[in-house]
Formats: sequence, C-alpha cells, structure tokens
Amino acid sequence: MALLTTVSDTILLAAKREVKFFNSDGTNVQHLLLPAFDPKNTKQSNDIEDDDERSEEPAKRLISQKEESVIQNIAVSPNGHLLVITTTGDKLVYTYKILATEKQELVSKRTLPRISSAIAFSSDSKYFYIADKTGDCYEFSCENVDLAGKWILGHLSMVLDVLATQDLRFIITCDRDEKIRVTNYPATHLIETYCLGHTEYVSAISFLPTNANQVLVSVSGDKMLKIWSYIDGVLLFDYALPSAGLKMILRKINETTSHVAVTLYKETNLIICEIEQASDQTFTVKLISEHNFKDCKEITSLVFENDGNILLASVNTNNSVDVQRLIFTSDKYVECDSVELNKNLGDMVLDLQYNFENISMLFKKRYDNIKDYHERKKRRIEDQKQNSYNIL
Amino acid sequence: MSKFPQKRFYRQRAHSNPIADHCFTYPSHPNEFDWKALYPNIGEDKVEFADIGCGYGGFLVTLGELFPDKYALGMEIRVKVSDYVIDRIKALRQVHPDKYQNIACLRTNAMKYLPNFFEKNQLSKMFFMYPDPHFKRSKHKWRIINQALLTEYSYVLRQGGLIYTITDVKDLHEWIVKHMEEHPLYERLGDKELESDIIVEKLYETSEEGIKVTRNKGDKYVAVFKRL
Repeated sequence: MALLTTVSDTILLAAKREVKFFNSDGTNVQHLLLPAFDPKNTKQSNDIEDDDERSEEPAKRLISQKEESVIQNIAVSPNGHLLVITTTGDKLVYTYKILATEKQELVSKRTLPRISSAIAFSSDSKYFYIADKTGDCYEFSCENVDLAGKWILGHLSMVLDVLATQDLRFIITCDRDEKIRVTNYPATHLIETYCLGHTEYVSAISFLPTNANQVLVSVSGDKMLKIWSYIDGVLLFDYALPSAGLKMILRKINETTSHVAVTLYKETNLIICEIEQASDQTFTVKLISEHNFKDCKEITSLVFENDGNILLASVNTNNSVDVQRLIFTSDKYVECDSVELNKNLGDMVLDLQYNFENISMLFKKRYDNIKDYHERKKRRIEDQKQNSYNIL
Repeated sequence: MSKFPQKRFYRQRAHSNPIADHCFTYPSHPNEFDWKALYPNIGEDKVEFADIGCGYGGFLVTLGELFPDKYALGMEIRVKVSDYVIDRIKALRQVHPDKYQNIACLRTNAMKYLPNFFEKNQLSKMFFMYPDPHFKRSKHKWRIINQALLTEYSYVLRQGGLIYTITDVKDLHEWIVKHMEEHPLYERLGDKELESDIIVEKLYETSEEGIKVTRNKGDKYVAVFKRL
C-alpha cells in the first residue's frame, strides 16, 4: 500500500515501513523509518484457531504474511502535531510528534488486536479512533499516549471507514454489510440511527465541506454516491457512478460548492464531480472529469493539496509506487507530467509479493443454497404423492 | 395425509456461521419491506415481537396464541428449519383460517440485518431461546449475546422493552447474564417480576428445544432483562 496525506504544505507518502516528507515539487525529501520489525511480535494468540468452518472472513484471507509488517494506515491530527501509523504484521499503532518536516519524535507504540482499516481524529486532536477488519472500533488518547486503546463499538462485518463529527457528538462508521451507522459519543452504547440504502459495501464516508455539521457523503460498491442527513439517516440525494466506488476525498470550493474525487474499481480509475448545495438541502451533482492512468494497477491513496490540486499514489504494473498530480485550473483537473516529481522522490518499489487489497473480496459472495433445497423438496413431495397413489 | 409438515424432512445441524455470507434477501431499508406478504392482515400495524433463532417455531406459535393482537416474527438462519416453520404456519392458517395471521417466519441473519427490517424502537419484546452455545472460545464472538450486539438490539428495542433468554447450558447462561449486566442499557428482572409475566412459564415448555431438555431431565436457566 502507498498512502498519502499532508501537513500544511508538506506531503507525506508512506509505503512499506517508510514515510517520506517532501515539498510539493518532490524536493527536500525527508525520511521517517519505523523501528525494525521483530517477527516474534506477530501475535498468534489473537488469530482464530480455525478448524472445521471454511474461513469466510475476508480479513483473515487478506492477512497471509506473518513474516513481514508494513504500514497499513496513516493519519495526521487536525492541528498537525501528531502522525499516527498502523502496521499489518505486528499490528502496532505508532504515534509520532511532528516537530518539523525533518524532525519527528516517536512518543508511543501501542497494540491493536486486529489489522486496522481506517483512522480518524477528533476535531480537537485529543483522540483518534481506529476501526479494524473484524468490525471493532477503538478510541486512543493523544494526551495519555501510553493508555491502551479502548473498545467503543463493534459491527458484525468489516468496518471500512470511521469519522467523528465536528461537535464530537457522534462516531460514524461504515461496513461491508451496506451499512452506515451513527453512534452517540462518548455514550457509544446508544446507536442514534443508520443511514440505510446502499446495496453493497460502503467503502468511504466524508462530511460535505459546505455543510459538515449535517451532511454526509458515502460511496459504495453499488456504484452510487449518496448524500445523507446523518442525524436522522435520511437520504437527500444519490448519484450514479460509472463503476463501484472505493476511496473519496472532498474539498470546499465556495459556500455552496464542493468537489469530490472518487477512485473506482475497474474500468475508470477516477471520477471528479461538483456537488452544489441549494439553500433548501437540495443537491445537484455534476461530472467534471474522468481519468484513466496508464500502467496503473491500483490507486491506493489520494489527497487534495492546499492549492486545490489532487495528488494520487498508485501502484503500477512494475510494483513501484507512482505519484501523479492533477492540476486544478478554473473548474478543470488536468493530468500533468509527473516524471520530475517521481524522480525527485526516488524509487519506491514494493516487494514482488506485495498484496493488493483484494477489492473483489468486499463484494458479497451470493451463492444460492436455497434453490437446490427447494428443488429437492419439490421432488420429495411429488414422490410422496406418487407413493400415496400407489398405495390407493 | 396430514397437511402439517413432518419434521424429519427438515432436520439440520444446529450450528451456523453468522459472519459468513449467505444467500439472503433483505431490504436495504425497513420501508422497502413488504410486510403484507408475511401477514396479509397487518395493515398499518407493525411487528412488535421478534423470536431470534426461532428454531422449529414452537414458541412462536404459542406467542401468536397468547397475543392475538400483536405481530410476532420468527427469524431463523438455517434453510430447512426456517422452511419448516414457514410450512407449519401455512398449514396452521389453512386449518384455522381466522388464527395465526399474526405470526410469520423469515430466513435471515438476525445478528446482521435487524436494522434492515425494524425501525428504531419498533420492538417491545425479543426472545433468545436455546441459542447456539458456540462452546469453543474462538467462536464466542459468534454468540448471539455480546456487547456489540446488545447495542444493536437496543436500537430496535424500545425503552421498557424486554429481552427473554433461556438456555440449558449453564456456562452460556452465566455469559448472557454477565454481558447483559455489563451493558449500560439493560437491567435484569427479579423473580417477583418474572412470576407475574405469563410468558415466562411458556418459555420452559413450548419450544421444541425446551421439550427435549425436559425429556432429558436437564436444567433450564431463564433470565429476563429490561431495556432502560
């Protein structure tokens, strides 16, 4: 996985066990390396000693490599002071203080029971929340950095994204079972509502920047982008995507307009749209552009830069990480030559056995065990009838 | 020939993986579900009782008789077992055309899809009778009662609503009581309150599992909890 995020004008690119900090033109590259990985730390105890049942849980199949541990998720606190990094094999949560672009201090190393799927910070930068692939969500303190993660909620399905509302009244999570759940916070034993309507996995949720206190945007494997009033779970608008949605970023353009970029599964790589909000909670969504990138196997991360440009990290057919920029010019996003940028960054080649997030796993496997049963039953009933006639 | 389904054609092993994908049809939102297909006379009324893992439906039938003006839904994950209950209710309705219009059974995974069927605060009673004990430690998270699921149940169960549990496995009974008491939204009812509830005595006798346990002279453990 190659992941992108920003701290003011500095861009962070994470892959394997390294985070690169650099300027937007790819210069002044600084490296942060995670402490050496000790395979002995991969906790077997938490793995399910599975036996007779076929392992149906996607999470379990994704995690095959016990012998290595790479960066799984990264997040920077809203105040820009903290960087949180989670890893796969040893399932650790590293918290770094960002003192300067070239100076970070490791302040804590905590453990996770399972591989993470998403990280979200509270708006006040005092907590962060980590969702995992078995459906649980944990709260971590930024102030008391040695405090272990506290379990706050659980889904019966892989949680794919997590958010905390600006006012910190709710935690919002979405899962592989088509659900978006709005849970009270800190009283997480009280579910406020569900936003229901998607018919496949919900992979990403974000607040609409023009109305972040009320309106939520979601993308799903059902090829829909949906806009919700999250307080009461009411669907406000939906928009058909050309293909199943994966990741999403949003940016406020003016008081009523936002831009949304969504990465897609197969066919098209990326779609960018404009969301216009009228005063009465009605919306229009308009296509701006669609993009396909040559030799791109998978876009693994994307981010809006301060100037409105979009930066993408992808894994190409040679298993190396590419960074690509789309330049924002008066309502258009133009693909630009990123050779110089990638050259400045230096090669980031992933191992050959690099495991792609197996996206097809997110779709439900719909095998029909009902039809066979009903056919057998029909035959049985007919046989019975036949037999009773014979007796007569 | 009897109209009633014969159980020997519907036997199925007692365990099911609740995390796995199955072939279920469920509405993406409660508004989209056609309740009239299950209860032709339901009109604007709503289901209030849910028997989670209703098995062969013995208790569900009793519920229908005890509360003729309330709608009860049995939810069962096993294909053949749920089909037995569906056929049984169909036969009961044919024999007694004016009765059993208030009970129905659905094949679904109640651990995952309750909010797809029920609105917030819709239910007044939920029943967990002889749930799968999932004895193995690694399977404990498949148990029908745990902290995360209790939160999900409290979404569909209204304040003051009741959760009834019965099991013949002492270890599971203790697990249930511990988790219910740990959860801030539930309070266990005392013996006095149980005595005045006509449902409680029926819990002991009316489900097939219950009758089997009685036949084997086993112990049964009942615990009832109020949603705060």
